Amino acid sequence: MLGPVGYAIWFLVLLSEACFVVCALYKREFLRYLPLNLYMLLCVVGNLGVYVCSRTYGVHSREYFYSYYSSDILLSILMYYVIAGLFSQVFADTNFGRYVRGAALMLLGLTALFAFVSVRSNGQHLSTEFVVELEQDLNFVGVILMYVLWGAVIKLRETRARLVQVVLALGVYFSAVAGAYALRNLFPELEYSILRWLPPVIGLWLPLAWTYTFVRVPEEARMASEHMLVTS
Amino acid sequence: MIAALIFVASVAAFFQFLVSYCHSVVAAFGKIELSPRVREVAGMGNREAAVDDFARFLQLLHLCPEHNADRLEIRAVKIYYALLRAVARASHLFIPSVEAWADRERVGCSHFAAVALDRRMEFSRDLFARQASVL
Repeated sequence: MLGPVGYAIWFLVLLSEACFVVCALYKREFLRYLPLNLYMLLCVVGNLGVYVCSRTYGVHSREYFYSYYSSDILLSILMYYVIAGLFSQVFADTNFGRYVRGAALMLLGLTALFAFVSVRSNGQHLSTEFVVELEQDLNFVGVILMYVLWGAVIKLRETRARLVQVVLALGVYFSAVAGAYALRNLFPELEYSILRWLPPVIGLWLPLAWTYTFVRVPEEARMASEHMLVTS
Repeated sequence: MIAALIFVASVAAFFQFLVSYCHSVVAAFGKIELSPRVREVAGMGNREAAVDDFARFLQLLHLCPEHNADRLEIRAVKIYYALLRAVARASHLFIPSVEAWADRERVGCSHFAAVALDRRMEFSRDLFARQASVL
């Protein structure tokens, strides 16, 4: 069993993800932000699947290990689809839009291929160390992509407040998760301490931040371009 | 080695994205004009919100009935303000430009608190009006 802390975190994450999707449906914005909503919906499905696995096989079973990490890696790859969607929104009004979409799709394909080949070649002895390293790498690629996207937002003087907040929240999420996995990789002996709970707790951030943005920031809200750079 | 590099880069990116995110949330309130009523209650007159107004505005906020919609928001900005204050103090002697930036951000936080106060006062007035109509 996961224990009270584990179940509490799991339930809060599930609730916040479901809350985001319900808010989008209520505000009739599900299709307008399809990649984000699809991602959150699949997070809910993935979380429920992992819960069923933990109840059926127990948290120390191989089945739970595979279901937890494979759903997490699949969701990380799916997150690239979300990033591609954000890239195409930012570059929508430029001539680069087509190329950016192509590059994003290629990156998605390459990442999926890399993850597949890595898991396949380590399939017989898929260890926690390997999975932690893969998660760390996938999330760090996410950090780099968010930097590129944030640079484009500033360069193109993107002022849509929602888009800006969604991008920044995603940047916070990726860097926190990549940092947590890197720390776990550096200190494997801390695996069963607080580091174990760090990635699931960070998982709360994204649905909460996005829900806040979609509930409190109207679609037509714009930011002054001088507010883009905090250090300006 | 690679893990250490990724860790350092991720921590740096985390703080940069977090500060930018908090800034974007606070900046969204910068455009909202304060009502004459809140200016009078807060003793602002015609001046803009200042760095040190934040704590005073929060005290006034606590005098108004709680409004669930903004509780989380206020708490988050309170943490951001405390972080900025620490940054301003730490950079006071050695990096004055960072201190100036932190102070500008804190002015934004004070303005945010004034807007929240304005909204709570509006909410309280509505509440009293509704209660009066029931009685």
